[in-house]
Parts: sequence; C-alpha cells; structure tokens
Amino acid sequence: MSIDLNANYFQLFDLPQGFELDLAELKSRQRRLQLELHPDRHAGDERAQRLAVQYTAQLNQAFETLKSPLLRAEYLLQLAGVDTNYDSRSHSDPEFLMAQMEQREALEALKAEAQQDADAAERGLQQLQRAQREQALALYATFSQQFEAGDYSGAEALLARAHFIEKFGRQLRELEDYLLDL
Amino acid sequence: MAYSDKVIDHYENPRNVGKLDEGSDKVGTGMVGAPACGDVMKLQIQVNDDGVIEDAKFKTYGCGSAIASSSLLTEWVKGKTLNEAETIKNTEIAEELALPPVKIHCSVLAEDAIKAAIQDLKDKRGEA
Repeated sequence: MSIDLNANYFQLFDLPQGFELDLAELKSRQRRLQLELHPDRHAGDERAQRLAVQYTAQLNQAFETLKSPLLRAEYLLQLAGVDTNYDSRSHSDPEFLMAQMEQREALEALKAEAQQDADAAERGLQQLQRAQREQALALYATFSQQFEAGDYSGAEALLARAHFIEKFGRQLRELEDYLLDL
Repeated sequence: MAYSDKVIDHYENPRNVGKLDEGSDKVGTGMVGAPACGDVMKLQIQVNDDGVIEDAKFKTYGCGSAIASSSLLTEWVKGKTLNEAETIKNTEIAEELALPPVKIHCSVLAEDAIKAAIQDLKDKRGEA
C-alpha cells in the first residue's frame, strides 16, 4: 500500500474538495488508511518501513488540516492560489476589531472576578463561549458560500477574521482551565 | 524566547494605557489587528489647537512585544505634529525594543495603528 505524496489532502482521502466536509467519513478513512499504511506491517523491510513512516506523517498532517475549519479554509484558499500568509499584514476593520476588543475586555473582567465569585465567572464564561461558537459557525457558513461562489477575496477576508475568533476561543479554553484549577 | 529588558519594562509598566474621548474632534482612533497571532491594538491620539499631539493612549490585547510596541509609540508621539508622527517607522520601534525577527510584525502593527489614528483624525477634520 502506498499513497501519492503529491496528491492534495482531499485527494488523499478521496473526499470532495470543498469546505463542507463529512467529518465522520474523514475520521473513518483516516483510521482505515492508518492501518493500511502502518509501518509495523513492514517489519524487516527497512526501506518500506521508512516510506510507511513518511506516508503516515503525510496522512496525519492531512487529517489535522482537514479536521480544523480554520486550517481547512486556509488550505482551500492556498490550493486556489490565494496568499494566506499574514505574518506582516495587519487587518483593519474597525467595527469587527472593536467587537473583538470588547470580548477580550469581558474575558479579562471574568478572570478578575473569578477570585471573588467563581460561579458568576463560570456563567460569564459559558456566555462568552456560546457567543464565540455562534460567531465561528456563522463565519464558516459564509466562508463556505463565498468560496463555493468563487469569491476568493471575500473568503480571504473572512479567513483573516477567523484567526481572531479562533484566538479568542483558545483564550476562553485557557480561562476554563484556570477556573477548574481554582 | 527571551524578551529584551526594554520590552519587559514596557510590558510590566505599560505607559499610557487607557482611552480618550472617541467622539471628540481632537481625538483620532486607530484600530488594527494581526491575523497571524490574533492580536488587537487600539491607539488614540489627541491634538491641541496647534496640531501637536498632546496625549496618546492605547489598549492592546496581545503578546509582550505588541504591548511594548504600542506603549513605546504612545511615548514617542507625544509632542510631535501629525506629520512628524506619521513618519515613525516600524523599524525604529523594532530597533529600540530589540525585537527578534519573529516579532517584527508587532512593530508593524504599531506603525499601522498610529497611521490609522492620524487618518481617522484627518477624516474627522475634513482634511485629505
């Protein structure tokens, strides 16, 4: 069993190339390919084993990329030839950024509140988490539409926003851990 | 990664954190973000009747370098005219704070923030 290392991640799993993705199907194909490509199946054959390790690494990379909505969106745009490297690009969308800043202020306030009233902080956290999830869902739904319609510049602007929303999601998970440790 | 002493100083004792009256026509607000790391930066300037920046405030949610870059910039722009403030380059900030290459984008963010604040003020005053 071998895989084409030049195939794109969707081809690797034989899944249709697009933002909408059957996650259950992705997982089951991942498991099947993992078993078929497992280096242990080539005990004694060093060359085949080395290749199998390479295939498995590629497979894992592909799986992690397709599984995450953010990485999948980014990957799709990359395949379409869009520059998604934000290293030295800043984003200016005052209204969106202001909302982001307000959410982070709310998170900061919750963290300060946690010492006095952990229950209130927990409720506040859940509210922010719900809001964040809704934002992310709405954003990815719009991304999917714009991407399918071939509006790559619109989709790219949404990807930039997604980075902020996902960052806030990570910060919420950190606060969750922090509250659990209190 | 090791932060320079200057970054740590600004991070631990940020100068000019806060906000100015956004509605005032003497105040310009610049709001920028870095998608790569999800940092958000707000920088505000207030000018006097001679067009000299008399106050500057910032609020940054981000890493130490982003906070230090905006903190330093608020110190630098005070007493400058808008035209002078506009010429500040991110490389000067990066050099002063001894930012490592992976953190250069934090200084870019600060430069973009002050430019946006100046533009906002000019828009408010009907200047091109």
